[in-house]
Amino acid sequence: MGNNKQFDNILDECLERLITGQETVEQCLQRYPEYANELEPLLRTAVLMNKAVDVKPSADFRARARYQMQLKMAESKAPQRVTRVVPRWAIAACTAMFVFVLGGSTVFASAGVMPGNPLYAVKLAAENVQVKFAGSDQTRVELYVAMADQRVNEMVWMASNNKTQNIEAAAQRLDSYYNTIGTLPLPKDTELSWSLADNANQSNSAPAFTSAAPTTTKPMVITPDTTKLASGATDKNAVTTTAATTTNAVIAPVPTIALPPDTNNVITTTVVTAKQTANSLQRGDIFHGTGNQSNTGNPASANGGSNSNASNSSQLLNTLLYNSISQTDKIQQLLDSNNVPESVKPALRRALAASKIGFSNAISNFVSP
Amino acid sequence: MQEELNLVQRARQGDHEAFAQLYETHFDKIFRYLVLKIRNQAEAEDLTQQVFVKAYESIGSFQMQGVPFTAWLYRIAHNQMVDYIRKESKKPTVPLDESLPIRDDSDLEGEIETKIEMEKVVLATKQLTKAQREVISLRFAGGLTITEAAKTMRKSEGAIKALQHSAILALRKTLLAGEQGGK
Repeated sequence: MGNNKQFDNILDECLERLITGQETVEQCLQRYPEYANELEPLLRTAVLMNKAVDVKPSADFRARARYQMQLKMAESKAPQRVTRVVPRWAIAACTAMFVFVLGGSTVFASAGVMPGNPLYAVKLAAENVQVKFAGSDQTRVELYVAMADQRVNEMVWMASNNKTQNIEAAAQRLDSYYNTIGTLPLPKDTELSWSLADNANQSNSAPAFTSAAPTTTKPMVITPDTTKLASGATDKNAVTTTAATTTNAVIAPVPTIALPPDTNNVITTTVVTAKQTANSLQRGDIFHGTGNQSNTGNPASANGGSNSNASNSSQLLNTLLYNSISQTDKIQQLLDSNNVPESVKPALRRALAASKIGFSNAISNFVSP
Repeated sequence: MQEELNLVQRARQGDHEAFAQLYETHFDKIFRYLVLKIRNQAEAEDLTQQVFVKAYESIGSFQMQGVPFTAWLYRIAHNQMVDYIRKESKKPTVPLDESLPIRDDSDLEGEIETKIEMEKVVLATKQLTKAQREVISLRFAGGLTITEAAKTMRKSEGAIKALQHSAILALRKTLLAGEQGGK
């Protein structure tokens, strides 16, 4: 028995070397001359076996299979991860508690819960419940925009904390929110006439959209003195609305938008950098509303948050514009940062592209065909 | 090994690139394993695709602390093959000489020679026990190590080595008998 075991081990060692091409039959026999007679016929048979199974899939099949696998991946977006820490019933229970007991606003207040946290699934579920129970499609748009903001903030947090494994998933969610916005039956603003130009072939630029000539109402007013760039921003692509200087700011090519006749808005805040202008990015970094909200951030929240004037499609458009710019800037800053590992950047680039293309799809939903 | 673990971990988290790398690493081997098992190239191609789709759909539930990824993948392949054989058992069998693949090169003489060799060997494997055949498929077609084969078959490494030994011995005898019978 002992001898058999020893021989099995020697045979296996020789086979391993033969299969992996490290050694020939002769070399193996030389190493074990005492077993040569017994080993040789077995090793010759093994060589024959190895040769017989050396078949490769045809190039055609290989290409076809790879393509179908890619399709499968694209369809399902991401493998379903089984969460073992928090069972589904617990997620449902927590979600119900969050939404129906504490109130819907509490859910978004749980923004501190980040991917990787067992409660993150609860957070996502709660967001979905909020969307499901939204009173109107316009409210849904606002919720989706807020959720997109959350995902971008999570990406920033993940990149900063080197917890990058969920960045791709966040990017995919971001993409899906904008795609969904693009499918919601929103009332079209017939006064806004945008011609969308897909800039998708310029991978590092936003989808460009240009506006049509003014028709019956007043043209937009650009007020560069109210615009501000981020403090210390060295990124030529950065567009933000927080503190600092305007010295490098260049006013964007003036998009001429026909505003609704009843609009008495003061148009504020259109800033792009020189590089963007050079790229002929006619990006409408615009929101219009009251002067008070010009530099304070999200126009919707400045006006009382998601509950204010949700029925106004222009207001929704502004919210979308503002958030999209803010989100793409945050992702771009991550991409430009030396502190973010290179391994994460492909996912971030996809997130950036998803945000831009998704935004383009979403924005087209506001525009009359 | 550590690299594969990292890939598996990333694939579990939804990283498509990681899964694609695992796919490329194992695709040919899974195909060879299935060809040897079912001896039909077209069906082996379909099954190979199904194995990876199944793996992709299930990788979220793969347990890092459980069996190695390779063993897990070959169990999927084995189960797909068993399902296929179960479904096909009532259909007429394909003649062996029409079902075996030809190597992917242009040497016709070599192709025929190889095909004949393979036919002999594959015919010989039919004489093996199920366990012996599985060991041979995993080791030679799949290129699994003894440890991986043991994990896949839920047997000890010693048992796999013994099966490997007895399988090759039986193959040798069958091939010799075939040669002597052909003279």
